[in-house]
Amino acid sequence: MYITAASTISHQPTFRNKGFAAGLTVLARPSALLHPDYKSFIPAMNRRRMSDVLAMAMACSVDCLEQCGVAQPDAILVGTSMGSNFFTKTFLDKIANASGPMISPTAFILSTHNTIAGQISLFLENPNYNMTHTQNSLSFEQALLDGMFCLQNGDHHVLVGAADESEDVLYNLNARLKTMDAHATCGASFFVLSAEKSAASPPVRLVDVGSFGLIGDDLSPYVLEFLQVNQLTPDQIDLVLYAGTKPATENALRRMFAGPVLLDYQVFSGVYYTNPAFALHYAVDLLTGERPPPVGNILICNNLIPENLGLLLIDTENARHGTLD
Amino acid sequence: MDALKEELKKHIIEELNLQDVTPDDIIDDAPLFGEGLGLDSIDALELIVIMENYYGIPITDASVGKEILYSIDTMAAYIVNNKPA
Repeated sequence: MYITAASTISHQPTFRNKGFAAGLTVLARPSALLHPDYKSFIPAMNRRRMSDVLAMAMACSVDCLEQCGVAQPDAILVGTSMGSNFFTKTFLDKIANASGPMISPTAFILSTHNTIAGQISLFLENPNYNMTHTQNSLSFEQALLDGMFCLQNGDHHVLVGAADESEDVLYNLNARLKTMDAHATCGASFFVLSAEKSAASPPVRLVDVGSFGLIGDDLSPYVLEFLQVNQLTPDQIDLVLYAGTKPATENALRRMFAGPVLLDYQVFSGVYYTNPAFALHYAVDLLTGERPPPVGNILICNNLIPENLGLLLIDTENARHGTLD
Repeated sequence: MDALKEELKKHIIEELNLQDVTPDDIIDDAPLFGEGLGLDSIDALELIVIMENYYGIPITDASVGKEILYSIDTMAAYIVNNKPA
């Protein structure tokens, strides 16, 4: 199956900026989400109820569908770890500060995670299957697996993405409790997966997706088996994009991959639980840029939460088994 | 009555987060839903909350709710006729 469109809104200049991967620099701290002009994508009557996570997801979805000329995808699959933090906080505030006998329903409705795929579906007036997956740091991988199953069952084009938003209260709480020293950010990345390659874009294949929980202390057996299932050996991987705890994840990967470049993609994306979607767009952009590097097989290794492991394998058609030019 | 209608419009704009809409944009006898102001089913729930929280008037019968929430005129008339003593 092929990745025929990709769109990302993040703390980096990624949106509608084909070739962005070649020019990315390490994200400065602090950083801010780079919002596009949402009015170009979302009518004001729809935009009024959207927090960042919904607005980003909607704009990326519209952008993706425009890129590949698909009016109605056969399925809409979204991964989100936290859903709308903004509306969750708003709903709790309304409960705490209720001034009358009734509580406004909007914040509750929009705080539910599955509102993301649902709102995209309503906006597109799309009657097909939609689902939002919430599996902590593996939410995006789960959505991708769902998308792959849809294509294997006969769908032609599916919209798959991930989105998470920042919320100052949570950010400040983390800072006060010192639970996370990472550079907390947010973003959304959406893709169209298609059964056939598009004439309009260089063919990049989504080869396989792995999603593993409770992996224990060593990710190596999972990675090696994943490659073996796909008839690859570590020396046939050209680039490994990873996120994890240092030095454990990096050391484990270095023991397996002697040759390929190892790159911690979080220096570009910052930390949020669905940032492997950022990494996937980064990889696709590398492979489809004006001057693509000599890279064919790319493995994305998401070990952001130590007990979870997400693996994404993409390639260009001529890259299999070391036959890259 | 005019003051009540003006107040209703302000509550609606604020609670429904109607960006770029002013009270003057809401015509008293125009439908609030569909071709009028373009409100939807979630907005209907918010209007019910406005009626109860600001005016103490519960709307529990869905069959009459559609008529009450048709326009600013119908909402204001219902408030005047049913406001608790």
